[in-house]
Amino acid sequence: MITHTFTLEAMAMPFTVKLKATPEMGLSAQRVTTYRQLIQQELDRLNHEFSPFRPDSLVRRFARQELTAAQLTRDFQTVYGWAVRAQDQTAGAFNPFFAGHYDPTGLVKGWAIQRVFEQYLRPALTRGDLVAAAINGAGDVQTGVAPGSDFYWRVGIENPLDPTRPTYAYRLQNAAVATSGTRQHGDHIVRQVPASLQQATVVCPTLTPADIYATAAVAMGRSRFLTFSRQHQLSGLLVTTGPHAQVVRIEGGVSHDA
Amino acid sequence: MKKIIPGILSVAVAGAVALDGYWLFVKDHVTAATGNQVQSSASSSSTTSSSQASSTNARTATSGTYKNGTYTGKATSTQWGDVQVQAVIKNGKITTINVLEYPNDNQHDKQINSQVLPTYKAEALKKQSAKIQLVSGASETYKGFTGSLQNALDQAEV
Repeated sequence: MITHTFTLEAMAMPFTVKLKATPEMGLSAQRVTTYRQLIQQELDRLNHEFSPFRPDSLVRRFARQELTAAQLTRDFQTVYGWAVRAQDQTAGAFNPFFAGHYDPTGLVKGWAIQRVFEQYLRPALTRGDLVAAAINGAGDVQTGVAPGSDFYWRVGIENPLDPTRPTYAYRLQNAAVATSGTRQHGDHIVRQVPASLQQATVVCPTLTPADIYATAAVAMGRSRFLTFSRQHQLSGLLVTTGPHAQVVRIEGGVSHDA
Repeated sequence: MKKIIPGILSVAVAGAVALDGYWLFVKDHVTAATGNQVQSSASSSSTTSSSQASSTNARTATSGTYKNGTYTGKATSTQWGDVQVQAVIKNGKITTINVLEYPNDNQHDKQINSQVLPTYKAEALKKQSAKIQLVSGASETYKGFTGSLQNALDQAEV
C-alpha cells in the first residue's frame, strides 16, 4: 500500500490529507498535486464565503444587511439551514447567533471538510482510484474507504491531561471525528452551565453533525450531554474538568468509564 | 488556442453559476408580498417542483434588482431532514432569513438514530501513539502539541 500525505493551510488552520492506494492503482505524484490544488481552491472559496474575519465574506455582508438575493448562494442557504437546525435540535447549546448576529463558525470547518471530501475524495474511492482517504482539519477528521475495503483508519484522540500522549483511538472506515475544547477557536462556545467538560469528542458518519455535537457538548456540560446522547444514540469521548478529571466513553448513547 | 479554451471555460462556468443561482433561488418563487408567510411547507414544496418544471420562459427580473418581498429558496438536505430558507428583501437587500419547517419533521429522529452509528471501533491505546495515523483534538491545542504529533506521524508513516 502506498501512502501520500500532504498538508496545506486554509481558513487560518493546518490541514493534513492522507491518500492510500495499491501500486496497481497508479496514483501519480501529479494526481496527488491535483487533489491538493482542488482541495485548497475549494477551501479558500468557502472561506471567502463564510469567514467571520473577512469584511467581504457573505456572512459579514449578511450581518450588515448588504447581501442581495443574487448573492444568496446554495452553500449559504445550506449552512444557514444547518446552523438554525442545530440550534433548534440542541436547544440552543449550539448557538449561531450568540453575539447578536449570524456567525456559523462553529460548524463551517466541519461542513467544509466534509464537503471537499465528498466532492473530490469520495468519488475517487468509489471509482477505485484510492483504497482510503482522510482529511484532518485542525483536529476534525473525516475518513473514508473504498466500497468493500477492510482498511481501517486509526484516529487518536488528544488527551487534554497529557496532549503528547493520546490514550484512546477510534478505528474508522467511513466516519468522522470532531473534538471541542474549552478554549475554542473564535470563542463560539457559550457555556450554559459552569464548565464540567474540558473536552468533548463525537463520532458520526459525517463531520458536520460531529462538529456541531462536539461544540454543543462543551456548552451543555456533562449531565445534559449524557442525556442528549442517550436521546440521539451518539458516540464519543468526554473528559471532565476538576482535579480528578475522568474520561467517559459513550457508545450509541450508553456511557462507560473509559 | 491555449488561452481561448480557459477563457471560454471560465465564461461558461460563470454563466452556469449565475444561471444556477438564478433558477435555484430567484426564479423558483416570487411569493406574494412582504410579510406574507408561506402557510404550508407541503404546498410550498410542490410549488418548487412545478415552478422549476415550467420556469424556462420566465426571465423577467432585471439583473441585480429585486422587489421587496419574501423569496423562498430550493430545499437543501441536512442530517435532520430537508431545510428550505426564505429571505425577506427590502430595498434590494436581504434583511431576514427564515428557515421553513418541513412536514416530515417527525422522521428526523429516526434518521438521526439510523445515521449516528458509524462504522467504527473504540480502543484504548497502550503505547504512545501506537499505529495511529490521525489525531483529533480541539483546534486551539491543535496548533501546539496535537498538530506537531500529527506532523510527526505524517513523517513516520511510509
